[in-house]
Amino acid sequence: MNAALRKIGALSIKDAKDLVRNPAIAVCALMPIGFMLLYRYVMFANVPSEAEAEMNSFLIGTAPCFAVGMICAMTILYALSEEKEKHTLRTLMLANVSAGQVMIAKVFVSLAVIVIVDVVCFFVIGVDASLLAPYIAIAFFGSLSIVLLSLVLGLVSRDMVSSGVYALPIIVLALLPMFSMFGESFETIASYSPCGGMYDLMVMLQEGRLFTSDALVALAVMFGWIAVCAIAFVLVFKKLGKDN
Amino acid sequence: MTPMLTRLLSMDRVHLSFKDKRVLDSLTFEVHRGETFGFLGPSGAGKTTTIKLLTRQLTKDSGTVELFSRPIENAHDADYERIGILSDTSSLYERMSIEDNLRFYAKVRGVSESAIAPLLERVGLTDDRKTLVKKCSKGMRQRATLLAALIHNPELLFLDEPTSGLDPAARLEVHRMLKDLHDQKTTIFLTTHDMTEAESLCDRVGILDNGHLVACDTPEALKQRFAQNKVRIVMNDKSIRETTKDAAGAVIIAEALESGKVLSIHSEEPSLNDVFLRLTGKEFE
Repeated sequence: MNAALRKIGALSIKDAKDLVRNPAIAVCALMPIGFMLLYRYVMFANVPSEAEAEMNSFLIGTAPCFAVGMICAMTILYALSEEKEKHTLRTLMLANVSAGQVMIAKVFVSLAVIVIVDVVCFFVIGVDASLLAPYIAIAFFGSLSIVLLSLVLGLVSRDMVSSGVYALPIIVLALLPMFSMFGESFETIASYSPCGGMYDLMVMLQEGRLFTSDALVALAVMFGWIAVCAIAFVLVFKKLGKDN
Repeated sequence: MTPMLTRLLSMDRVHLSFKDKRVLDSLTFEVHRGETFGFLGPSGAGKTTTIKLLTRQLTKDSGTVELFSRPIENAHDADYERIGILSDTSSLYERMSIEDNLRFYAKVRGVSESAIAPLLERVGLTDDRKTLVKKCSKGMRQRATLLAALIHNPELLFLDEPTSGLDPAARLEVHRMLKDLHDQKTTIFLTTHDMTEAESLCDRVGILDNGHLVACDTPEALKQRFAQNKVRIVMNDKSIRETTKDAAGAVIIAEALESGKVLSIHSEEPSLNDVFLRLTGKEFE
């Protein structure tokens, strides 16, 4: 157990340092903050006060979707593919590190970065600070489905080129709730997407409806997707965890 | 008295096929503690496959594989902490320096970082320790990757073509390092298709052909097995006399020497390459 924790710790530190060393990953991790700054201070700079609540709802729901999509695509999917392509993953495994330990470290670092970026976005949006704790909790659990999906695609992809192809659906799925404003049918579809539950819960949090029965469907969607992605991950890991 | 040999790893009648292609055919050999065992064969002979079987990267179809006197199926994770592996594709993190890579592997292996400096010194990488791996030459990378496999001072080291693609100077440095490890009683399982390397580093060699071990002995014994009973005397006028390695031959050699016209006398010793050719009917690539 100690050896496993030691290895996960070493891998996590290595992955965290790689965020800084790898400009591609660093830029993607900072992109959600950049977009929130753009939305808040450029696009929505002159929003009338009566529309401010609606704007805040949109931004507080969008920020964690953006963060999980961009960060998972890079820190999990791209990073795993790079480890495969450059044979560092095999070298790790030959040093008695298991595939599970590699993935736990990547998930740990990704979730830590997602939460940090979400918190920065929260303050950029400038909503009531008392919402921070539930905001973090929703963002954390809401991100799990995309994190697991990224692991699945990371296992499937063989190299960095294929990870580029797989990154697209991850980002589109994560950002789908952003487009719910385009119409009622679109909103319904978006609500049932992997990040739809998280987005709806964030909007309810901003509107003060989080602790009402309205939140039950969104909670069910969020945890339902976590369960589906976890099952997919277990199945793919059993099949490809060692060979691929 | 012959020293007691402790068997560290072994294969007994191991078969492995990939679809219809038989890759290992009744492979049987053992490696003893403290020896450097060379596994020789041309590309595609099954050398890397054998290492993969011994390091749990592949599973055999039949036969017995033992590691540290235990069937490999029952090997513990702790057994693999006693092993170092340099595979044909082993590589370090390119955006990290040599030293940071070694620090990382020290943490993974649970050893003190104080082990790093002497290792770097040993392979002449101390001055380059801060160099990013992506900026290192192939020789530097190979030596650094070897250090990562050695960081925990393994009892058993698997090296798959460790000098492949290296320039002569880097090759010599790796050879010197392997000789040091041998002196420190590290058991080394080495695959190579470089006969000179095998002769200079290995206590025993196994010759693999099409997944089948065709010979296994010390390099000297193998060469002796195919040595010809022939001595060649080259005279000053470039004429050549051939004789045998017996009493009659000794008389002829003595006469030639007395004539004072001998340029050189050669015993016809086969090289390991010749041994391979005799055993398999194939030239090395």
